Amino acid sequence: MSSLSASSPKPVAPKRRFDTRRLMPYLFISPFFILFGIFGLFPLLFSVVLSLHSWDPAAGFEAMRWVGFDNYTFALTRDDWLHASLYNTLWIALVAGLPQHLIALPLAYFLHTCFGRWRNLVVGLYFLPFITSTVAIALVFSALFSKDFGVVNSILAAFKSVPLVGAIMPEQSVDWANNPQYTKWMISFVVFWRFVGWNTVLYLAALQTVPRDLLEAAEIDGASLWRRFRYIVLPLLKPMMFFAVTLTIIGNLQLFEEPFILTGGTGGTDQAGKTAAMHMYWVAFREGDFGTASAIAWLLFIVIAAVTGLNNRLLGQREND
Amino acid sequence: MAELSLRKLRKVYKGSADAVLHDIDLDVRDGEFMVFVGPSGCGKSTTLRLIAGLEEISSGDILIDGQSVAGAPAAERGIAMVFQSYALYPHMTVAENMAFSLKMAGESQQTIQSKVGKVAETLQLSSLLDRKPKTLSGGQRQRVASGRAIVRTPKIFLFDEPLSNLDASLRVQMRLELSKLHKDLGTTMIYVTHDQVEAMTLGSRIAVFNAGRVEQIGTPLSLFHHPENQFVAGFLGSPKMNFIDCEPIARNAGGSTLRCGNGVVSVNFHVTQKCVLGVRPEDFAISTESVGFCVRIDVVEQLGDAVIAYATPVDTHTTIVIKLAPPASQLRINAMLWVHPRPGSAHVFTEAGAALTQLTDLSTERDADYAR
Repeated sequence: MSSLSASSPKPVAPKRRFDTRRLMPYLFISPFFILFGIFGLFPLLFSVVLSLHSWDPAAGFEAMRWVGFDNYTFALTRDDWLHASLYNTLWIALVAGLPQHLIALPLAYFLHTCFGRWRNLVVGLYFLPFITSTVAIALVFSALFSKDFGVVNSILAAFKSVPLVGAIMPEQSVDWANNPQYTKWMISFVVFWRFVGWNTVLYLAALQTVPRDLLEAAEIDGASLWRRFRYIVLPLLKPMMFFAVTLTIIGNLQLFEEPFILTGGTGGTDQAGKTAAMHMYWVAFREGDFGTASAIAWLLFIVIAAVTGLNNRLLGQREND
Repeated sequence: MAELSLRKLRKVYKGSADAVLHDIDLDVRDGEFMVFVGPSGCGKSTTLRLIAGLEEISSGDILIDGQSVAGAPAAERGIAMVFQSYALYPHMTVAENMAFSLKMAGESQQTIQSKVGKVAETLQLSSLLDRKPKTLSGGQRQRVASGRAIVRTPKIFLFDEPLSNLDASLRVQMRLELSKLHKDLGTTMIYVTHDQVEAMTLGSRIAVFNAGRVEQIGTPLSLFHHPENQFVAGFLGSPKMNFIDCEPIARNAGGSTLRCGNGVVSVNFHVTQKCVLGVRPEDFAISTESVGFCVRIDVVEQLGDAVIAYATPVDTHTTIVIKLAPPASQLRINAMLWVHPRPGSAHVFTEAGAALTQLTDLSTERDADYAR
């Protein structure tokens, strides 16, 4: 009898194959990362590099010359136009931005409480400027603010005959577009007009979340419509106020289209309507100084971050809220 | 302290042809704890909102102490309301929530502090005054909502299902607290609920609402023992009353004999038309002889303090519910039993639902148990 030692067969290692199933999720999500990498992350990082170099793009990448923080130093200390345009930007951001919210908030509350079936139509009308082409808006407003034939000047002229009010009306037609004194007012008005509807919609959306019980409890507690707005609605809208004001800050500090078209790309007489974004565009594409333009972009980013941070301190949610 | 009267109160919403409230006539006495009870959509909360002034009445009148308040703003009616959601202002502290109405009324800071402090002490809220509502438990929120109402020293308190957001044990505790509060304050209170246990335990009187009408008003026991119609009989009591269609088959000097499904019941008055027999589950007794209904037990539920059986009378497709004290060992699944209503416990209704009479020898102390 022969003894057979039945040795167990050696485990055969599974053949390592290219596992497409494991790769699939990454493949499906890759378009976003590829597009973001090319059109988002690369330009972002490249602009950081650019801001530390002097570069004439026409001469190719070899022409890039390291200058350290020279571009920043120049922009901060010697670029008077940047300082002026930053002042213009902050001025317009404030004058156009503040009334947007001061009007949109009560307007949204009014639409929310007093309008029935017509509410959506009215909201739609207010929202219309937001989805209208900036070029069309700028053209219409150029006509409205025209010195000789504009409706605004006609209205001001009509008020001249009204007692008391007439005294503060200008003697002659105002040259809104070319008189540096008025350019920023004109731009601010257009920006305000364009975005007040957008903010109204934001606040209306937030108002839907305020429980009706709270307003009814306040009504029984003796709060008038205004006091309900002041003491109940306004504090509850704080998170949305923070969001909407942040959007306004970011949008207004990057303002480009409206002033560019309204002033014909020049910034107006004395460049009174030139914003920081316009100046950045000018430095990059007119003067060909991409290094300084990148430095300006990052300085503008710091300004926006600082103002948004301030807004966060004022309106942001606290842990104990 | 005040009396409230509703006169032909009617509510029709804009764009709707049907009224949600049909000519409600109701009187709430001074110091009374009146409970509005009924199923969802019966109009009880709408009535409360009309009293509060949160909605406009379509016709009729609301009188508080004899004065019409139908056109008065909510704040000027002398009422305070506790909402189902409590409606505490989330951005204000407990103290600010309670002080809000006083602040709106222009009271001095000193008065506000004194009043809020006093009420907070009564409701054991003193240690919570600086807290925000989101940090409070359900019971504490309920107490703050009550405190906010008490601070206003209203003539009438309105409660709109204030306990329905609480868990079962907390609800029992808060029910007791509300009862004590009513006893201590002695103020007229109107309380809306769909929970019949709350209605029965809290109410001095109960108004049962159904489809925009008040079906019956009375003390809890009078409604339970002497329902005026099938709806009230069916709504109060858990498990609900059994209804069995009947027809008279014989008439004698003392009353009539009714055939109810497969059973026969004698009544001590004359019945000439088809009717409905109403028997509460706890009013069934097991017959030792072939009397009443022969039923087959389908399901048995052991509740500890009671045994509930769902049974089908033979030759029918209806289900009746029987509730007996434990051990009730006869109640076994698939067991065949004879059950009959205890003497004097069954009710008879017309086919339209009106109570014909109750087969009872209980003395009818209707309204006598009011003023609890």
